[in-house]
Amino acid sequence: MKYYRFELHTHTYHSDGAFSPEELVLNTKAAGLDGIALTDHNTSSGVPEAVRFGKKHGLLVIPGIEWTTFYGHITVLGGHSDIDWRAVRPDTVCELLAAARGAGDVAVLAHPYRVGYPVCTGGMNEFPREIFGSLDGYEALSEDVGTPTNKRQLEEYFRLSAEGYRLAPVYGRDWHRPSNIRFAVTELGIEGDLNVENALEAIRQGRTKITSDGREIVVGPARRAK
Amino acid sequence: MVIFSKRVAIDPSALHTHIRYEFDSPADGEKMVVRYSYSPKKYTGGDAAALARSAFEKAYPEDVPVRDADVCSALPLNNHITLSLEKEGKLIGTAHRHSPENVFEISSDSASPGFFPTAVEKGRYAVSLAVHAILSDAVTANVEVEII
Repeated sequence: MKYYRFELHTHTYHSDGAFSPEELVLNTKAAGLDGIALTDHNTSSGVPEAVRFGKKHGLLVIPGIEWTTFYGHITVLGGHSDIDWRAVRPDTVCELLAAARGAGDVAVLAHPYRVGYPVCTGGMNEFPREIFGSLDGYEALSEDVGTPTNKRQLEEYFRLSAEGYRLAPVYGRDWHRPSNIRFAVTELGIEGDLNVENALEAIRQGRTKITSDGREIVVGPARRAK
Repeated sequence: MVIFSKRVAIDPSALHTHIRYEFDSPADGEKMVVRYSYSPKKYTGGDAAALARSAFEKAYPEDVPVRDADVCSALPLNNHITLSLEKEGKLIGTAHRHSPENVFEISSDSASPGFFPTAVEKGRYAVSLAVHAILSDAVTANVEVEII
């Protein structure tokens, strides 16, 4: 097994990001990462172009989407399912996550404690607690690692893990445009070749770790780095 | 040929709903043009700072005070309504944009970002407006669909 550096939460102008798909790929390469997941809000229309430019520039691009609902945001990675994001509600979310995962995708709860409505609709997770049993991963850190909300995310991640929920720790930069925030990366422990399916399997199996400036912060499954 | 036109007043009772309108295209076309706008975008009510502060307080740890600078960084608050397009009940795409003035084009070989290339054929279509945020007493949205 070898660990590869990924950014698993990104946007382009196919939703509200500033990057073109090629600019995102080039910025990711410049940051020294091995791969990204493209997770535009409620659309995957930028995926074909991003995959094409990923191959051109030598970067693995995982197809994805961010279900940007009124009740919480979930990144769905893999591009295997085709679920209408508008159907994702508190009473349907677990069923639809099961369908997405059954089709081969992995699901990660995004920025569970981001400042929510009316600053960012759905930014804070308000789905019922049952959702924690229907996910593969949890953004234990997101955006600028120094923001106060990350403290709550990290604590909830360890609390859920102690309760027995099996969630891969993931970082999400929620990368919309060039910025100089204090970001981290998600490292995926990949067995075999570096490809989409092996990257997804690393998340399913919890072979992830969040690192910042080369320092381990969280190591999956649910181990707080020293 | 304009095949659909709607001007609708949306109030806060519609928060977190999808407002859907079906319409027919009576003929095939080379492309579909969707013009979508809403106003106002910014919420200028006197309670904006208090609403933002409340949102920060719900998200921050108890031992971290919300600073005035944090609240100011979130102002002005905005109304936010996104548009999705369907053909024969299947989603063609969603434009998750913050701009309140938009023009989208869809044809068989190209589409505006957010949408998938789709042949414009005679049949049933729908637009739906996702009311992500509405703080103003009334927001007016305009949707016009033309086939060329």
